[in-house]
Amino acid sequence: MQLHSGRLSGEEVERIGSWAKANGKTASHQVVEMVLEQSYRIVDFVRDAQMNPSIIHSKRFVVSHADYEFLLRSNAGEAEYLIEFRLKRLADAGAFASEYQASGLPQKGPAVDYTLFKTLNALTDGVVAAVVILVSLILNVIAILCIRFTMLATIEEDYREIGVLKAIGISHKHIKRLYLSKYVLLAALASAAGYFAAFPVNRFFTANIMLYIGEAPRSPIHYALPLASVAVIFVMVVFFCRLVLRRFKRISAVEAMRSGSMGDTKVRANRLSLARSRLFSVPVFLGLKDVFQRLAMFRLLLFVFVVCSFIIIVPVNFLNTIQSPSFVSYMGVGQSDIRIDLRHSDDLESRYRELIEHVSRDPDVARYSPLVTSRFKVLNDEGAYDNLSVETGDLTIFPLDYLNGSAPARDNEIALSYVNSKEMGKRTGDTIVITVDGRDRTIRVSGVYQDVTNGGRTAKAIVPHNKDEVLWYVLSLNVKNGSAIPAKILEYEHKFQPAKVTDLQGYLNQTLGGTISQLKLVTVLALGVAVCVSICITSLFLRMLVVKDSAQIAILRSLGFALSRIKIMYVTMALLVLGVGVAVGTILSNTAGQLLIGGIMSFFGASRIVFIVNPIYAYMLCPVLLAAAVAATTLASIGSIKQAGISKTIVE
Amino acid sequence: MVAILEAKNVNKHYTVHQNERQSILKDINLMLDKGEFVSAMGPSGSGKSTLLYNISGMDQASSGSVLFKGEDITAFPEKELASLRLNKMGFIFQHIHLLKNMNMLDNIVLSAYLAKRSSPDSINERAGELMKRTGIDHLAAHDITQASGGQLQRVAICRALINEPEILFGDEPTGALNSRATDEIMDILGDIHAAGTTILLVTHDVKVAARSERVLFMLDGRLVGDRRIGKYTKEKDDLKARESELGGWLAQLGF
Repeated sequence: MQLHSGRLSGEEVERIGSWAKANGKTASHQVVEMVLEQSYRIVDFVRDAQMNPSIIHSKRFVVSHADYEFLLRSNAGEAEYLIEFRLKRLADAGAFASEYQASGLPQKGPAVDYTLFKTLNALTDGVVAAVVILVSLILNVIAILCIRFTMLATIEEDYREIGVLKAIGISHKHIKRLYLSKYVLLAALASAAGYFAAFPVNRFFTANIMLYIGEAPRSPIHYALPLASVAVIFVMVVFFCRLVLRRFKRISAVEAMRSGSMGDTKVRANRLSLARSRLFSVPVFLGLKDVFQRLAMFRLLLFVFVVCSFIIIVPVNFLNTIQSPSFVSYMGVGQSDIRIDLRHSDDLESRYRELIEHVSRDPDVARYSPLVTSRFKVLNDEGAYDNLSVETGDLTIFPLDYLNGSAPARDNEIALSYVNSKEMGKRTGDTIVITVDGRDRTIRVSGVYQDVTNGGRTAKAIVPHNKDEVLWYVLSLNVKNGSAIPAKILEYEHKFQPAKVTDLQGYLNQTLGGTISQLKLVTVLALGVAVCVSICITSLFLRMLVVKDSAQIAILRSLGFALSRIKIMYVTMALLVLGVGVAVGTILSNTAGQLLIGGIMSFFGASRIVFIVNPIYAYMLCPVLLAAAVAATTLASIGSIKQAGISKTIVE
Repeated sequence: MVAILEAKNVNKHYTVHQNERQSILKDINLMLDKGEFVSAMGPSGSGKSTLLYNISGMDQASSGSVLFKGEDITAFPEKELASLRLNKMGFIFQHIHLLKNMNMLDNIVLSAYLAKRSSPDSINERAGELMKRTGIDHLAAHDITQASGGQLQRVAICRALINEPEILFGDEPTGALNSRATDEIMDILGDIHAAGTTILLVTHDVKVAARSERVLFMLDGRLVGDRRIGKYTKEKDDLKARESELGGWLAQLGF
């Protein structure tokens, strides 16, 4: 647990050390901020749960003791103490924090605890893990559908033989066992292969987590949990196979031998008439008509296409949203051209005033908003005081989108972040008691906004800031039309070193860069998986369909349909189903997918994510990619119609 | 007379097991004149249906050549063969083979819409005329499940004639029909022939073969008999006389 940061005197450090010792805790420190230009060779990577998460935009480096001494001697920066406490029981963290606050020991800078570390790291890797789990679950559903397709295709091919087996007196139970044993063996082999393949592949997905957070200690769970998951999948597959094979009971021996086809596809009444149609060519018309008349059969393919579109479009939209400049509104930050961050330094207050002074006189600046984040005490339900980071200043200059309510307009109003509102149990219109200038004041919650920074626990008010507990200063500004933002950034960086000056995109890149690059990988992966699944299912389905339709194909060929025209018919069918699937998938992605991502993101502080859609990717490139894959697969899968002799099928 | 279809040394065999060949057609030489009405007879397994499918381009002969109006169709690529079947040939089958998901009219007009030789309206008009001629015009909008075997075979005939083929092939077209329906279908085929269409039928039935002008007899994959019996005059006595003449000839050939 880290309860402290900021400048401390040697005496203060001593006092904290003795206090910790007296309480049976161990304490360690410290880090330095620097302004001196010095070159260092990177020798290794340091795991840093506090500052490595990309959402944290402060970073720190480890230097040798000699270099550290040199930096101190050169007056390159100021020593900042970071006191860390390792508790025996994590559950005691809250009590420990209260105890510390009551002890009267120095309390400068923000205090962070294990839960916050976990949340911060989860935002980088958790989002990716959530998407991977989602894609995996969908893949399981598709795999089960795949099994159904394969089994139905096999039964279709063996239909006559099944009839013969029944006719010679073999019971359906025995026939079922014959098939089931085959699938049980295949499922067992595939499960074993999947289980063992998961270990090396696992490293690929968890490399980032292991780098940033560390490797979990080896325990039986490491092997048992995947084994249990594989066992569940195996049992599900066998159960599903038994379910599909139940249809053996319904097969009539005579009918199977006579027709050689299950023929259980319901054909709807003729609604579309060729003699009345003028819109489409004959093969296209036949393809469309066939889909409408055998909807029950095509719904499985439709489901797969809907799911595939969903698993492509949701990550693509989410990636586009998270990369978009307006994503900043989920970070509790208004949209401005440039953001200047000032953090702990000796003359922070004066530097801040100087900055405001300079900006107010800068002719290139159109408008600016100075905001101070400081810590206030808030009375909780149990009558004790908690800390609350509150951003104060004029919040109307670069306004935020509020989930509900609005920005605080008077000094007796406060806006809470979504996570704070949930944790404190306060909604818009409720009141909270906050200590301002040493006096308790009851103020009203004016609104709730989304914020994924600082663990999602922030607030905004227009009360005077708490001078003793300032965490950081931020100045946001918009430049006038025509002023170059990069040049302005350089100017301010130079003038107000070590202030951190970023443009909006830069701020997003620095805070979400890691998440974005991980999400890009997942998006490409999801795209690959969806295309592969579409190819696999389309191929299986079309092969089954061609076997089922062999008589119809032979009739069409005898009437003078060239193979190319029959292929057009099947490609039309596949593309029609794909078109509807992509349309439904797109609608679902933007509704259910958005809710799903909102649900995941609500853990991090943003409950209402609105996708920012790049229509070229979401509505053109992805569907075209799927359509091309499906059309090519259809053509490859129906190639077998060439081999089927017309006369042989006709005579049979 | 001008030959419309000619088979020269046509052989057809299938590989049954790894290297075991089964010959179905052996050195078939045959010439059909334009406007002829020919029946092919023979016991089951004699190769008469195989002959029909091989000389119509529906199946590929193992060796030999098939000339349609002087052009060797065994060398045709799949697309040209399909075009030939679409534009120049018509087929009628024993099991009728209509498309289940289409109504009667759509089944008839399908290949005409594909061939696009005339406008949709004139195709529909011609389909109407054919249906009227074959007595099924009241069934146009019906599904194929709503008609008898005889009616369905008439639909199949209309479908075969919609593109005005030069030759009509029939593989046991009356094989699944009762005697009354058989007579009706043969009357229709007689009319089609009278209008100038060449017809080649495969049949077991002497009564059906007796309506044609020429009868071929096949045995064990070979063409062993070819007899011209003249034009059928539609007289009841004429049919009986032709049946008896054919019966005697077939008996001589061991049928």
